[in-house]
Amino acid sequence: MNVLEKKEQAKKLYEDRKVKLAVLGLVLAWISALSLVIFQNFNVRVTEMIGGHFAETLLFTYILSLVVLGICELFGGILMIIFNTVRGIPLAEYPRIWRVKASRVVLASAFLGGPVATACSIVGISFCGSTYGNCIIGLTPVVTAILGTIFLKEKTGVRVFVGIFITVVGVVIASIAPPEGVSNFYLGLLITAAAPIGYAIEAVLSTKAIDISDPLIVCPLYRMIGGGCMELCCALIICTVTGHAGWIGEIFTLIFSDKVILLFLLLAMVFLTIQYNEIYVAYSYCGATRGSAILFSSPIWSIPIGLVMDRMGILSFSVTLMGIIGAAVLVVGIFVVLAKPSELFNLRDVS
Amino acid sequence: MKLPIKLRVLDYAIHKDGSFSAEEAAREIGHEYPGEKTVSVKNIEKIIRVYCGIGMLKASDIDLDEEDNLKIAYEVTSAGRACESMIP
Repeated sequence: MNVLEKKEQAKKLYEDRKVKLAVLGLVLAWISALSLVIFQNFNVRVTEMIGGHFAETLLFTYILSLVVLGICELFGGILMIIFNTVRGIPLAEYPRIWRVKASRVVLASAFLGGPVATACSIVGISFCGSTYGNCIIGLTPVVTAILGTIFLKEKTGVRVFVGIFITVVGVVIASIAPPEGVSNFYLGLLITAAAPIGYAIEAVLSTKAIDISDPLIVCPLYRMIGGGCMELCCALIICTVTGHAGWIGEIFTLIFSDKVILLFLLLAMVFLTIQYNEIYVAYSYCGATRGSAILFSSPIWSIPIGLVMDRMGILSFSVTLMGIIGAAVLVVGIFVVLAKPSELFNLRDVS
Repeated sequence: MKLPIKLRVLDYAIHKDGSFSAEEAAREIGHEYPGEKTVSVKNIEKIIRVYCGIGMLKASDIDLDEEDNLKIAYEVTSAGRACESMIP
């Protein structure tokens, strides 16, 4: 083989390696999307089972969401650190990353991602259902594109605005008719609307910090343990200020006295840990654009997963034909916003 | 206190005068993190690939060695240099 042929073969091998990393990133993002839906369903089920012992008020539902989410994130973060340690990542890496001030932005943005976005999405989904809630959450790339244009001066072409229009059409179609057996449907959609705003601001704030940090260190430390502590503190403060300090103790008593609630909570914690960490790694392997496109296809996956979990007796799931059509249209719109359709599958252009 | 390993790789690339290989980076950085598995050549290579994906490093020369394995030289880009202010 002459020198030129050798160089060409080397280039091809290098491109193949880049493609493999990007494909791995896409697979991780897809697993993250599935894990997101499964976590949401177990979380909603836990909050329903605990909430049945209390008066059904919006305040209590939000407090319960904060506590359950806080437990899942805090203990999920600890679980991930244990997993990392077994994999060979030294504990010394965590104080090292703390020393990098720029990385702490992820902690600050975790406040928006946790107590605001995720807690509101859990409350909202408990009212309107997984498919519809995920349709609203699926607007995150749209809001991110708008914020990126305004604050990061990102170039936003006609394709992005067309994609935004298609996603909004998808949300409208999905929301036209609530499914049977769902109360407070439109209230649920409204509450869930805090999620895409919170997630988008979180993404815009923390992009640079995640670029220079190991995602499997930053995620458990800041996003999970940091976020979990914030949620539990928020719950404690709100309960104390509103004169319901006893709620926290009662919630913990119920969790540890009912084996089914404890099991579902543990499962929610595991799937949340998988979801958070996989998507952080996926963003670094295949880029935030492609990773987001796959992650926010969750409305589509919520339908088969919801049906399977309904059959297993874990939760009751219902969706209308318009909900299914709306979810499909929304996902098409997301793909248009985030990428040229040819780019998403043309992994030769991963740079 | 030492830098996190991923950031140390970028720091090394910024201060390196010219291109470098993953093996060279692992050798230089490895002395600073004795006994840590995360400074293996395989892990340093993975970190470099991720930086290349986000445009902070790039492959300046791609070739094959005698056993037809990839031999890549990397260098920092202007986007990578711009992150120097984030390094404590």
